[in-house]
Amino acid sequence: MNCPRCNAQVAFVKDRCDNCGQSLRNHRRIVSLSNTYYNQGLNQAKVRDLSGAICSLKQSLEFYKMNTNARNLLGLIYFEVGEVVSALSEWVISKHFQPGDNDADKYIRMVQSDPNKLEVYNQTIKKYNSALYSAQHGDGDMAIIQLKKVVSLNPRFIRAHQLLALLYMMTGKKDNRARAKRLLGSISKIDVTNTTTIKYLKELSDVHLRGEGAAPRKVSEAPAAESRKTLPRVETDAYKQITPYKEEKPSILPFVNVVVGVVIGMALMGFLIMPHINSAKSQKANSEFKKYSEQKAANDSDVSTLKTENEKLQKELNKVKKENEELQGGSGVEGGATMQESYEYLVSAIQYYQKKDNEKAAKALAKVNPNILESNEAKETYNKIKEDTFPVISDTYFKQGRDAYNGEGEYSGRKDYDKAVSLLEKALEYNEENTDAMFFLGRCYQQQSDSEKAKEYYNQIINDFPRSSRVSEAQRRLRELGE
Amino acid sequence: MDFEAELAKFQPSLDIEQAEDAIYGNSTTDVTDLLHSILGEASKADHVNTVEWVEES
Repeated sequence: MNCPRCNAQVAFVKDRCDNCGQSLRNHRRIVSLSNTYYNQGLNQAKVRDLSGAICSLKQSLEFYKMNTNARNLLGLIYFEVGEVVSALSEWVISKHFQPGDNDADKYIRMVQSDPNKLEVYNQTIKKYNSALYSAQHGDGDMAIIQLKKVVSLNPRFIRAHQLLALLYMMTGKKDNRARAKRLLGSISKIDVTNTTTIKYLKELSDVHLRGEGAAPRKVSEAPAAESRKTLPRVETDAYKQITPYKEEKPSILPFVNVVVGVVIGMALMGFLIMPHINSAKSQKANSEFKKYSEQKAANDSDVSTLKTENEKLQKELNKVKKENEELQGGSGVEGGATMQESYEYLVSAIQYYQKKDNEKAAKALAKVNPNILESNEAKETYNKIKEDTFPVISDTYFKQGRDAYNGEGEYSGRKDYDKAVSLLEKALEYNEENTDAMFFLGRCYQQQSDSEKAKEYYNQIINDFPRSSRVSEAQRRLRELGE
Repeated sequence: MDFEAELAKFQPSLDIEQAEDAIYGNSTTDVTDLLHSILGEASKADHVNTVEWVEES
């Protein structure tokens, strides 16, 4: 370390200059800081973080301008990125601060030892400046031509590469953008953290160069082709790529496969098996139906035959019944007495008539069916007894009915219309022309508020027996009923 | 990206003829210079204060 006052060489650990007595404590701290930045810049340069290294070294020199190592390294980095004049400037300044034992001498000699090369560097810088001027004044094509030459002459001139890439990008053409990406790719290997390069590459992220991604495949295919020539053929899946172990995660794929399988199975069942099953069932049902139909037809035929036979037998039965009735002396009238009974009742009536018991004689005679009496004597006897007994018994019933109606005689003090109706109807059974009985039947129904039946009997007297003494009374009663 | 703005950011590179100007124009003032300047001014001020001090009676 040199004393900042007298420039005398002083040991770094001393707090004061031996020559002039200058306090060196603060000076040493500043030099330490400068060295720290230099170390940082050196580390960055080692990993080709050249942009970061330039920043660190500049800061180092701002703290301590006589840090020769930092300045020499800065010059080297400038030279690496194609800034030859900047590099020479740094080395010259370094030589100025440390004339002896300085690496800058070596670097300057290295550059100046080859004048042609130095001239080439100078020409590239001039062409770059000219191209920049053209580009900034709208002549991009000229700038591209000049810059192409610059980058071919000095492949490490980062600024020229960046400018050419920018001009290529500005054209917007696909092939130019690919060229720009190729240029930026080459300089990104020189300075890996150049922000401008990274920014331009990001802008070109959509561009895919022809060689990208394809190269590894070619490398892998070539040995395979050779191996086929020399080695025995091997199954393609004999050797599988070893994949890192992964924890199995629950997947829905097996479930989906099962569902798809079930669906396919059901579809096959529906389209192939079910029609066959249905067809078999249908055939069976058809055959059974046919059998049933034949059986039913046979049964129908049997039933028809049986019905015919039944009708025939029924007719025969009726015929036999009729013959039997005829043999037994049938009634001839449905519900009436048979011939034998009729004659028995007639004999009984004759006996009562002879005993002058007209009521019993009339009742016995009423049971006789006069239509089946065959002999004239029997008919005459029947008519004789009827003429003598029926009016009498009819009149007897009439009188009893009237007494029941009026509450007289046997029914004294208690009018009984129902009993009266019953007796008067009996009176009409024995004598249909008994208009007195008809009139009192009308009266009974009138008293029982059955106007319709009452009118019926009154109208019967008026219409069927107009000479009857009851006609005028019947008419009066009808008027009472609103007729 | 604004290409024109990017283009404007580019600066001309120094050629060999301009190297001398660049070397002489280089700012050589660092923190040590500033420190000495500050210390020098401080010592000068102390000296002035000492000279101009007058004892009051």
